[in-house]
Amino acid sequence: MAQGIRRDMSGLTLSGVGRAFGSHVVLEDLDLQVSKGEFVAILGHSGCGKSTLLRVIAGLDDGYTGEIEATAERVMVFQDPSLFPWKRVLANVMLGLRSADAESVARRVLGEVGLESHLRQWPATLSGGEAQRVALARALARDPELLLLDEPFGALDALSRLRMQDLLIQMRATYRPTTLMVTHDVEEAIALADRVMVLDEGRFVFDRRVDIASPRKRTSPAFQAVRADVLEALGVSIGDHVD
Amino acid sequence: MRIRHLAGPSLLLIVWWVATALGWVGSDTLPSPASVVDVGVRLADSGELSRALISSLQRVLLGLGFGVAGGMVIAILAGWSRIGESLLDSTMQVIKAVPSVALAPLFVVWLGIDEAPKVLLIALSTSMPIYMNTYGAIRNLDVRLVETGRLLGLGQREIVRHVVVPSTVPAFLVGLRVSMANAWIALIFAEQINAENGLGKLMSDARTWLRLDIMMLLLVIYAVLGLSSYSFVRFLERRLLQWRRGFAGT
Repeated sequence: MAQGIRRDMSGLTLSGVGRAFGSHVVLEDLDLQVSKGEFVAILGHSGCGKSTLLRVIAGLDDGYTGEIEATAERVMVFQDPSLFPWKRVLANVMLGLRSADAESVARRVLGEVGLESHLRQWPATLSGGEAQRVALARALARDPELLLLDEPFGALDALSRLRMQDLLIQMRATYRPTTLMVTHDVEEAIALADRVMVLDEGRFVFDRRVDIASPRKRTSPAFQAVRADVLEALGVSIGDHVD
Repeated sequence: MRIRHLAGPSLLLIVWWVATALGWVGSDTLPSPASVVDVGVRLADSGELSRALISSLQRVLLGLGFGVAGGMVIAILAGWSRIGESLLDSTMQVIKAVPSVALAPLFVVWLGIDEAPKVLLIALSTSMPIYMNTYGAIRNLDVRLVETGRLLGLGQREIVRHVVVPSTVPAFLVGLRVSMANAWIALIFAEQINAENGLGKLMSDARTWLRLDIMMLLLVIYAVLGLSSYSFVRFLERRLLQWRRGFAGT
């Protein structure tokens, strides 16, 4: 397999990565270099190949061509929290943790996402935002080098979404994983990421660093300027865009 | 089992009692509950009843044990691996198409008239509902959960243990209900064909001598056994399915 894992390698490198399903080309000759600890947000229209890209990087899809250099310590959070409904919150986070102090790690991370009082609950009793916080805690409890987020807040209501974005900013300050996030939400991408990219028909058509000091005010001119550029890359002119 | 679950069966008992007490039906058609209790006490005193009950229960438990374990293992093998599926699923469908009671004479020829053919018949008729339901549940398992298990670093065995098996429990319990009902039917059938002991033997003797009271007694015993196995499954459901928030009725 072309996929190399180098311990000393930092971040993530894709060289000439492609993926086709039959004659339908989803990803075409992608190059991407993400440095260690960097947060890259990938935007694009539905069907542009964003999710396929994450699945390939996550190792869930090995039908790709080209080369991927990524750490083995990677986790992924999906739009659907994918909690195991037959395990309580704590057990969900502990599953697969091998260290002797797995339970105290899981308790600590659940505390960090504000769920210390929900440890014994079944996933079915959680709200959407709580469930997604458990999913985030489950990912971060592994202290991953690479965090893959596939529209992680896409199914949440606007208020929970803003809270989760703040939580993600806080959690990143603690864990500092290299992060690749796929999203539909332009503002979310600019608010969170160090770098915003746009994927269109399997190719990157836009790549821009976001040099706005945090906390990033969504109303600031710098923010709005990046937003205008990104929307243009997405083929949405500002006049048409309804917030 | 809660009290209200007993309401229906109790009503049936009262109707039976009233119908015989008021002479709506003659005792040569339907003996009264009192005479059934009477014959029950006599058979219990002589030890005949407990001997029959024990040998029947043994057969059912053994057959059910093999059937449930076998159905579960085959379902996991067929559900988890493609090779398992192509080897096992069609085979199970063929076996399912043959009514297991039709195999009974063959089992007697192969295995003699001892316990083996009876246990095998019970095992066969209990394995099928377990297999069908468990296999179906594995096929319906959300692939995202299996992927999540992989991403969390679980190995194949751990995924089977923590993801696949727990996901099948609700369907497994549905299968178990059917299996337990099948177990008693298979038992009655096997024992009435030939047996030196057991409830079915009592039944065929009672039929020979036209002892309606004993026949009624055995029917009541079968009903009680059926109800107890049903409440056993309900108990399991309460214990094992706490995580599910199902519709509980209005």
